[in-house]
Amino acid sequence: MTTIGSEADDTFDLPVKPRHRGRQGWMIAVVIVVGWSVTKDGIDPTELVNPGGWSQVRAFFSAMFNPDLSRDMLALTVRESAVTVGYALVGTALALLIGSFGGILLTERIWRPIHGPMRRGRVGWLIGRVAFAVPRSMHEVVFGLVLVNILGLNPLVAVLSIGIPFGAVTAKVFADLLDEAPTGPEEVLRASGAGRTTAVLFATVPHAFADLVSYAFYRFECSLRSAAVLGIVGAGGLGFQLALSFQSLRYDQMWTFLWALVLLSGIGDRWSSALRRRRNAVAVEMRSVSKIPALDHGEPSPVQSTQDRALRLSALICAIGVPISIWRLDLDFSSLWAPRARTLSNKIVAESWPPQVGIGGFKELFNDALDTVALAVLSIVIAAVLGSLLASLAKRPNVSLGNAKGPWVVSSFVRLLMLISRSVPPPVWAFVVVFVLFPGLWPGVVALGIYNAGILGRLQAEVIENHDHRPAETLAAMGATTPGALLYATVPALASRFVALSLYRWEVAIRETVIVGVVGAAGLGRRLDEQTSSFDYDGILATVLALLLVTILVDLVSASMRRNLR
Amino acid sequence: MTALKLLDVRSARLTAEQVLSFDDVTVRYSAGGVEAVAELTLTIDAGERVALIGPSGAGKSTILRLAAGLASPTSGSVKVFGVDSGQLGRRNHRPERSRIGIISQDYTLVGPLKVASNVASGRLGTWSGIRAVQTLFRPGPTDDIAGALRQVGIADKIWERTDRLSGGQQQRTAIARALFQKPDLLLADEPVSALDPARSDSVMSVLTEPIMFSSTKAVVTSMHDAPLALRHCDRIVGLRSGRIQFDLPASHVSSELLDELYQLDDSQ
Repeated sequence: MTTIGSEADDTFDLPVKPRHRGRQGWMIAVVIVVGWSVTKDGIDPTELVNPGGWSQVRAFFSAMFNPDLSRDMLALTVRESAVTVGYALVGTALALLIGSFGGILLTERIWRPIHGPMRRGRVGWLIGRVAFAVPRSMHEVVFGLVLVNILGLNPLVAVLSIGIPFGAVTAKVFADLLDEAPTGPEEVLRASGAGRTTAVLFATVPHAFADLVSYAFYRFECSLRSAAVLGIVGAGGLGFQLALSFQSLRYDQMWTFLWALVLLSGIGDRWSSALRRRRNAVAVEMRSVSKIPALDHGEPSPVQSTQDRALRLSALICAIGVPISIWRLDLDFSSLWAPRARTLSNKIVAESWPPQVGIGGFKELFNDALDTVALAVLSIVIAAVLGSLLASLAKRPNVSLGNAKGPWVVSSFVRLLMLISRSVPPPVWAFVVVFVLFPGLWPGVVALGIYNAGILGRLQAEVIENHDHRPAETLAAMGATTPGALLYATVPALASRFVALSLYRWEVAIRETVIVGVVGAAGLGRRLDEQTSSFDYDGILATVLALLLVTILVDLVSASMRRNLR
Repeated sequence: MTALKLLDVRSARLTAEQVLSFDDVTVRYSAGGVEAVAELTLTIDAGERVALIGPSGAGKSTILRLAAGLASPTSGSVKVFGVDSGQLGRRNHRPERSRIGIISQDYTLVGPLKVASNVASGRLGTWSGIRAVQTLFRPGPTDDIAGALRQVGIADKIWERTDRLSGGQQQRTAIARALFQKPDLLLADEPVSALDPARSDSVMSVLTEPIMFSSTKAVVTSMHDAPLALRHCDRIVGLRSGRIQFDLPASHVSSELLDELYQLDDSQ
């Protein structure tokens, strides 16, 4: 055969097979950290499980099928749902307001001269970035706990608690989207005499607009869940009613409110994912917050936003909904400047400085911080395993030749299961779990695990749905068995994205540990709960600072791991 | 010269097995929609090197997908190694599927895997489950994989992550996967579309020469480059709007025929 006669240049030695030390190192580290987390509270069932509580759990879940549907109850549910949706809407609006101004403030575009590197502007840019990083690393509930002490039981607490931290994330994501947009149009405008801000507004913002809007709807989806959790902390709405019914152990009433939440978040998820189908907002946030290229294959196809009627209609609905909600919720922004708020905030600032570590000293604080990390690690391990299982049942990867669809019933059932697990606020899961598990790390782990399994499962199902199934199909057509095609084509394509999503949720979970801490789970969250109920402000500041540090560390580790996945 | 070659091929074909046959096949992607393939009847025997040529939308890719069992006809029947292509997906027809090699237009490689693993996956059809798992972590036999990659000139990329390669390198990885598999029926959809002319020529030689006098193997490839098709294949099927315009030995294809085939139709 004369096939490679002309290929003399190819007769060199093969390159040496490289070793991925970085990735192997991370894998070992993950195993060690997970192992360590498990040993923190032990796994001896006799010490952890309270068998007497099963009847309560059974009672809770059987009430699922007969919620209280009396006329009064339904009227109350509708009223309180409106409150929760109102919080989410106005909170998102505030977040977008902060995010839009912040986003423009944080782009390099504003600080950079027309040509050459950023010099003097660098300081301003850096200060801005750090200033927005602090609120971003705090869970909404932390804001809620502090603000309720200044403003009292005011609906503004919920709106601000959603708006401030979400505004900070939005600002960061917006800024990065603007930084990614091509510079050409802006340079032309600036060269012809336009000011910096004007040039960004007219040349850069329109380019990134569709991504910005899609991300805004993803934030609304998150706000809806957040509004429910804030209600439990005392801000009102469905969450607050849930807490009241739980105190009187009226499970039937609880399920009326829970089903309302399931319905609301089902609509919210559907709405946001329909709009997101074109632009992956989660990928946008992952890319922005962790500085890694998007993990979804290929860039989303450019959308002509003028044609995007669904997007414009949705924006219109929200634009009408926000003023209505402000009016219905009776939001009074002037209470922010009221003398009462000023005295209280002065008092809090005075009492919280200097921060006090409190009883047990740094050792105890450090231990609580470790508990927090273990809590987040274990809950994400549970969520990742459970989530991928549910996701692959909800959306079967297509391997076989021809279109073999999974049974419709199974897929719908699993989807409902995931919707319920992410619609029921984590504190409610924690309350239920505490019936059978003694207080400590594990109830928090299980509660956050179930909740995040619902969220991760949905995101993973989206990944399965959007992934390119043609390689698997080709391998099958070339004789591979179904497991073979799965192993070679589907698993490698999905695995890195599943891991990336899990790491992204881990970053969120470390913030969420606070909300299960509130029911006495463990870690810095429990500490914070004890301190807020005793108005121990200098203690709160110390805990918040510790939480800030842990969050930033976890973000850095996760970002580095995700970079290693590429 | 050419006539002599043709004679040899014909005599080899006397004993050859019927590899692929289309019997009155029509494909519509949507009910009442345009026919991607219309009333196609075509038989391909072992030893044949067939090029499907024609303008975009002529139905070339659809024919290749039908042959691979990746698409099914709206009417008519497609048989591959005597098996109805609709049945190919079944477990008991795995041996037949293992004999089909595919180089698709969009490469269909697994991005996160190394080039070596992608090439190795060509033999998945003949491996046991255990062997498949082992090979995923330790691609092999390395010599064969490297050999296939050398034939297309990218042996130096063997341990690279596939999605980091350029388009042309990915296309060559897909070709190497098919070479490593050593299929009896190779279905190649525009296999050299991303390669430069010299590389295209050498890769086409690699793909077609082993088949010339084989009594078990055949290759069917779609090409937009008619001269390249004429150089490397001995049977040319001209397609237009899903119908066969001509089906001739390469030596009989004139430039007038090609002009007519590729003529722009202003009425559409």
